[in-house]
Amino acid sequence: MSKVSLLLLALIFVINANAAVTVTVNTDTRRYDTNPRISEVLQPYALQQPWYWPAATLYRTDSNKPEQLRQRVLQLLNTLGQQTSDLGLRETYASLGTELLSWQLAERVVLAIDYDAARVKPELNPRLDDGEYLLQLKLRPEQVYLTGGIAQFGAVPHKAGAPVKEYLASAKLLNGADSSQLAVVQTNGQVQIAGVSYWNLEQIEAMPGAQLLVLFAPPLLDRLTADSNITQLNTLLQQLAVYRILP
Amino acid sequence: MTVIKGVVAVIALSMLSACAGTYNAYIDTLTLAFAKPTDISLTLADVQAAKSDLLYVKRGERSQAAMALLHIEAGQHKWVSGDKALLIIEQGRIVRTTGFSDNLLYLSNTGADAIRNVAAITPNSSWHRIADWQHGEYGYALQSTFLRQEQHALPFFQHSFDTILVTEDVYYASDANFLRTDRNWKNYFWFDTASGTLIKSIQTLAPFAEPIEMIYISRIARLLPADKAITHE
Repeated sequence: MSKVSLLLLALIFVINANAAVTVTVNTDTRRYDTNPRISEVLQPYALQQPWYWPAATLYRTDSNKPEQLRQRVLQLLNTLGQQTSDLGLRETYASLGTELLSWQLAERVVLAIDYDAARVKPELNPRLDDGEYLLQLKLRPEQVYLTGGIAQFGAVPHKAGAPVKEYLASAKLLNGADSSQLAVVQTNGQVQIAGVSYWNLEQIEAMPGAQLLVLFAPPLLDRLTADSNITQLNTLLQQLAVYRILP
Repeated sequence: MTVIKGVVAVIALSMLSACAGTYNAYIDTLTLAFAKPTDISLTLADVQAAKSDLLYVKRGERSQAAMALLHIEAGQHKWVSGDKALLIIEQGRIVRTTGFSDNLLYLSNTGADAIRNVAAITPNSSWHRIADWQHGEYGYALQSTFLRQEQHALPFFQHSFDTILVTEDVYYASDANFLRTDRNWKNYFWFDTASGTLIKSIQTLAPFAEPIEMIYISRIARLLPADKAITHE
């Protein structure tokens, strides 16, 4: 084998060895030459604070899926705004579009992250594929986040032992919002649809750090068509909220 | 039968040292040792031979099982069962669980737990905390008061331990999202009087949870007086 071939092989080895995985844990970035298990990534940080493991979240920051999804939702909001003559609705869609542009997004990796469980259960301790990641570790969040068809977006204090309906008590819903149900994007990434009307009220609670996404009510005639623009908007908003990086 | 049980346990436990560093092998060994349909009861020799501290655990009406001490870190004792469930305990208090059907995710204000300083417990001692549960209950408040009783005898390995019994009256202060009348219950903690070591505890974590009885059998073996701690191989 020529010297040039050997050099090329060595170069390829070096590139592979250095190109595997980069993980930013909160603000601290480390590179791994081989694909680390999640417990290995957590090890330097896991005992620094009493982390609230249900809020620990892993994102892929090198995926363009979230941005593509955001553009789809923005286009849909634009279309819906053009289709309606209701000025209130137009304002609603414009306001939501502005809100969505402010979201920091990344593709969430579906994995229950828990340093203790990962060390005893191999299925909770996978190796990370090559790529760039953000791993957020948090203390127990004290807030939940209101978004969607609501006049005031933002954080409100978490309510202990309270059904999600209670968060809407003092909230003003926007024109076109669905007052009978909302999507609870739980801190662990699971989405639950919660009835909040007197006839469908459900005892679903928000985890500390959850998002409460007020959905939109399809026009009466469209309710039977599952592919109406409003139905699509509700579905896409839930997906986008899962990708949202919260403080 | 007891002899066979003891031998199996000793063989299994002695294997722990051989597989140190490999969690899976460690856990598999525990599974072999502890996945039994009947109450486990180890001899003093078994307990003394174990490479890891052992804890007897009995949940509700289930058989008594044993858990092994996996880690002591960040002020917590982490005990693992044969089926890979974890009890995470701070100064005798269960503060988190994993691997159970419904897990305690979080307990607040653990630093103010009166159990941490038994000598300081008075009729006015109280402790307030909130708990989060995996199956959708977040921020449920619990309020406790404590009573300390001296000279409570507990027998283990043919020895009567003189203990201080702390009885905790717990009140589930939040309006539960289910119909419950049993919002009050008692937890119990037995401390060896001579050393102050916690040797037994019964804790119910919520009205919907079964009581968990824990016997710190390795600690008990270490606390035996010298003449009773000698085992004959």
